[in-house]
Amino acid sequence: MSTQADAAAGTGVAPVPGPRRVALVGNPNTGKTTLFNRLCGLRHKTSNFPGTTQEARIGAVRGGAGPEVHLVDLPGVYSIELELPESEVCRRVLAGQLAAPGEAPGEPDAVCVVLDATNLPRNLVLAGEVLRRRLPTVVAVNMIDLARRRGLSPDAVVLARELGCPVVLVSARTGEGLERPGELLDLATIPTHTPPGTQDGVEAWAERIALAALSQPTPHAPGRRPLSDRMDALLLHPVSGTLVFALVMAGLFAAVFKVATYPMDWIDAIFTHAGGLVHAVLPEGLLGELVSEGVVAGVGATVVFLPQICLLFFLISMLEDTGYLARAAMAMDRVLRPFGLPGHAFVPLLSSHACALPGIMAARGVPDRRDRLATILVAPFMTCSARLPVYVLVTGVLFPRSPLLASAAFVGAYALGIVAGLASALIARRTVLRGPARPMVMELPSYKVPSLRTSLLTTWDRGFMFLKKAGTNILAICVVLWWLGAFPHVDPPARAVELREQAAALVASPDPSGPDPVALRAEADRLESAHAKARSLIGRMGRAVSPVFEPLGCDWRLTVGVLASFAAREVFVSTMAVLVVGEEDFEEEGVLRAITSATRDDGHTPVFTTATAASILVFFVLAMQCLPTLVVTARETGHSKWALLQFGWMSAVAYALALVVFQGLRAAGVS
Amino acid sequence: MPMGDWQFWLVTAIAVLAAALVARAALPPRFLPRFLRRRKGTRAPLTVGGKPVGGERR
Repeated sequence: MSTQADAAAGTGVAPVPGPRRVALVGNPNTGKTTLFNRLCGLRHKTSNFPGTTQEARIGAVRGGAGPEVHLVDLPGVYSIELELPESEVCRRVLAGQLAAPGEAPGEPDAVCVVLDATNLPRNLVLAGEVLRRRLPTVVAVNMIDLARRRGLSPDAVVLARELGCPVVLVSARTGEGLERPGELLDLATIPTHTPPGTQDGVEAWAERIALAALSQPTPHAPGRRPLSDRMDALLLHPVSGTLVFALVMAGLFAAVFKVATYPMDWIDAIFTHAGGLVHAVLPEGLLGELVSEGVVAGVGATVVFLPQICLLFFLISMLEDTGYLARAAMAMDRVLRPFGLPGHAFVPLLSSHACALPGIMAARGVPDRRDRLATILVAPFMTCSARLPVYVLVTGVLFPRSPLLASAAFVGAYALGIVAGLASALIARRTVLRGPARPMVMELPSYKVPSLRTSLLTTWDRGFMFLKKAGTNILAICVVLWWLGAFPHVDPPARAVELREQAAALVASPDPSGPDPVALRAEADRLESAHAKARSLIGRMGRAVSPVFEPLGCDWRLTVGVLASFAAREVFVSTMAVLVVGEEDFEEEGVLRAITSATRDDGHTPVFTTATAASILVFFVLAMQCLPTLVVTARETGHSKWALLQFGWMSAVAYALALVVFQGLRAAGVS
Repeated sequence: MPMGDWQFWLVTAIAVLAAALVARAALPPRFLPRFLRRRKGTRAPLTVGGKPVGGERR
């Protein structure tokens, strides 16, 4: 690490012993997370900073001279002095007012400021703000490989002299300058200079240092624009940019559908075998039924979607790392503007595709109050990851033999959510939120080769969080639903008793021309199970509410599924599994097939007819079925009336459109 | 209800625990009894050299 030695020498200050806790600070798109992953690998945990929805990643770094270092990855910010949630988190962590979960409160022992080597003037403004805090600091000038390719050569010694702290030139993507990761953080020292305190002063200071540290860029060949400019011309063009965006999204979802099928089948088979194993190991009775029908079937029905969720986040992470997603945001700005939403709304709406909660919190970055309210109100229309299991299940029912059509329906569901959100924004901005919109200003990150390591670690994080949810909340909901579906015990129906007697008589005196006693017993089992479920506590609740959802094609089972999903959308699939398993033999055909082939009380009409599946899909795209989102909406808007408006509007739109779809398909002869 | 079956009481106890977990995850703290509420995150006043500092922007 010659660069480190040079930089440390440049300050004239010897490195202090390794810090215990280091905060990682940087602008967005500086490769901060890639550096975190390079330093910590899998030795990290993800949670939220207490009392915030800002994600906190804490990793352990080994290999330094001192004791083990805990590295805290702070949100990417342009300034720590802004009144934005992510800036506040950075400010409070650096001030010792906020600690990540599991960490003792107090100022960090050191700060590592990550700068983008291709954009030093702006990045140095943040470095100046951090240096003013007088904490032991080391500056990592990242993406040095990219800078060199562009003819930029930042001088680490000049930078270290001007900043008054050690400076290291690194490439988190290739590992350059990070051969011994722990040593980087051991270099932190208290800065020898204090940057100016005013905003204008620090900007001029940053400009001066950048000029001093950067050699002149290599001039481009005359008459030929740089490749990034030519790519921007294509990706930001109103027609080609939108076309590329549509193609990228369609390709992404087609890949998710096609590739994830194989691991999904494996997971389904594992849970199917687990159900059989439980029956074999546990004594016969209620406990065995709880484990096999409640826990294994219910959790298995959710976990089976893990490959699709992992693949989706992996591909999105790769796209983000290339710098394309920011271009997509610019391309989409033209689409948002006619609907009364500012360009600033794109980031909250894009975040809402993972989860509406961070999306709504990100709306704090929308400067105008009316714009912010409109963004918050429509954010839950965007398809969050909790809807994915329902989409996969229902599109599979609609197009069982065509993955291409199923993926088209999947993309259509995403598009419907976006269209409904934009239309709702337009209505809101012309009625309750009338007023002008502000123009969008956004910095486009450099194009980069995506980091496989970063994408894999992001995928691991998201997959682990999904499994954690399936292993806690969804497991708990499955247990409760199983109990409500198992009691009270009722006498078997007369027809089932009759079939059993008939089967017993046939076994006692076989009749080759008569019915098969095994088939008679299977039919008696099905009738008994359906009778018991229909008269259980949950069956009675479902029947009481089912008149509301009958016009959408729902029977009592689907009604219970829809109601249960108001706790969390993905619970719908688990609920259907718990309600169906017992009536259908899932040990032979797998949980998902058992759900899709389940029949209603009459024994022959499928629970999911084509019209019902389409209606359910539309309902889940549009309905507000997330209690935490309503709570956050009320908190962020400062009044529960906005949460009530959001719930009422989304529920009404979802019900009305699902009704139109179901009744329309029925009228067209589609059952 | 199969009151005489020990397994009934066991699965009922598990279901009650599960219902408490669901309520804890889904409901705002003010609607929950005290023992079900999540513990608040760690916060500490800003100090420099052991002395409190005022005027810090929040």
